[in-house]
Amino acid sequence: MPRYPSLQIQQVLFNSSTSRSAFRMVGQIPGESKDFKAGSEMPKINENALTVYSMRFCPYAERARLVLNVKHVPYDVINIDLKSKPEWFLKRNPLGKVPTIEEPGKRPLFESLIVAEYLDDQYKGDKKILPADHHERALQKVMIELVTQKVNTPLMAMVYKNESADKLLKGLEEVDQMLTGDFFAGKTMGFVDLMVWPWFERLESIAEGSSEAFKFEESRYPKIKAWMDRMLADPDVKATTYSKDDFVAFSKSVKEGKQNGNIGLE
Amino acid sequence: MVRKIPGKSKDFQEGSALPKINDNGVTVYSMRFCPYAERVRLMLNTKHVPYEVINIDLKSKPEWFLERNPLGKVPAIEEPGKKPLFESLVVAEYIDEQFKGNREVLPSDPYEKARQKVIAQNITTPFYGVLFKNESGDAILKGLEDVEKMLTSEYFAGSSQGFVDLMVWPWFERLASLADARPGALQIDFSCYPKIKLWMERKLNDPDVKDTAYSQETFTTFLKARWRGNRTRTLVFDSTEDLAQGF
Repeated sequence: MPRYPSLQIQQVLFNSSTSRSAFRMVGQIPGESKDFKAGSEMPKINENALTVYSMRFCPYAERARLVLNVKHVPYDVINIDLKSKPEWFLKRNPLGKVPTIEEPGKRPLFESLIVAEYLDDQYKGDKKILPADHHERALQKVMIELVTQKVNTPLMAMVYKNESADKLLKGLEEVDQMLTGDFFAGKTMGFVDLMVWPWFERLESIAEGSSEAFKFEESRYPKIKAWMDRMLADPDVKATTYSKDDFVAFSKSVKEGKQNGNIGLE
Repeated sequence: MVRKIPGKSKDFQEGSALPKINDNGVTVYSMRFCPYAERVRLMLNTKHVPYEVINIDLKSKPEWFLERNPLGKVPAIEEPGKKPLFESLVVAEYIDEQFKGNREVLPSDPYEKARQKVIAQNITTPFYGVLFKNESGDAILKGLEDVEKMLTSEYFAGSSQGFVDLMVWPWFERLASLADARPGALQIDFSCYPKIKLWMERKLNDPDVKDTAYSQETFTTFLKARWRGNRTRTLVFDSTEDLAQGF
């Protein structure tokens, strides 16, 4: 008995006139569905909806989902087993990466930052995430690159290439100093905050599951810690996150060579 | 009439004093042979937006430059009263949005704009390894095969030059020199890529692109010197105008 609504039922829920309140009341975001592997048949795409090809624990795919969830824009999700990709997915993105998005009548788009910006530009939703001022927009993108080089990249290298935690620890100190306001974007949560969030979201679980000497000592990074609390106080960001246990279990599955994107669904 | 393109000026090194910054418009921190910095100069030259250039010695960076871009890379730009910006694709897009100039390069439709950015980002990846990391030329040859298939119109952007065409141009501009400078590592037979060849000729017919480009000989000299680890500040230049600037 499936625990989660089929794609079709989700679509009815989300496209109804009460879609926005239903979206938030259910507390459940799209995408809590099992992934598709090589050799599987492609599920029927909703020809009226935006489809996001994703993997529940992929930080890059999360960027697209965060934008859509914060804007309360309805969408369908097809999760992909990234270790065994269906041919119909590779037709849509020959690079085989998530996030990839598809809209009726348009060729698929990919590259997480480009997709995230496009979704904010194209879909009105409940709020605009990027600022209208061109220079402000560009400054946020510059900040994303800085945080990426200081935190995201060293974090991935530590987890996937067994590199030491040194660069990450140094990067966290530097990023702590970048936080001169409540958010990276200033007084309110903005594009840069959402784009870098997935990596900070995983810090505690990585520390717990890590055999390396990486400890995320919150007292060393007070501004980052305060920012993370503010992010999780946002209901849409909170609805998008997973429990620490699920993140730890996923990391473990990766380390054991049995990456499992369905953790928490079984 | 030959347009004066900014940037043919000596670079600044660590320990140098900050030159007077343009207080009327855009200042581009650049290096004459850097393909990433060229993206921004191409965008400005194509739109005929005036700007000034401060060239940076990338082997010995002035402190005042690192204050502007802590990552220490070109291109970076600065305008009066605004924080500096860097990352070539971010800067190129910002310039197109912020300055009307004589044309808009990116499409206004959000979807078409996003498509251009996706293609621009993905074309240059195979070139990076051979230019900077001494990797074999096979990745480039495979990349050229893929790109040849992508050229279904006269330009990557369609029937007229667009964002992708400008953003990827610097890498193609250097192809012949790459092969020249390392004959063992890379041989390119352009007759295998007729569409690319035609596209390159069309690009060089555009006066703005032509004015921004350097000759193959100049590039080859630069690349050879770079791979020998030599400083490239005293290259021979290929015009009397360059020599007159006192290199």
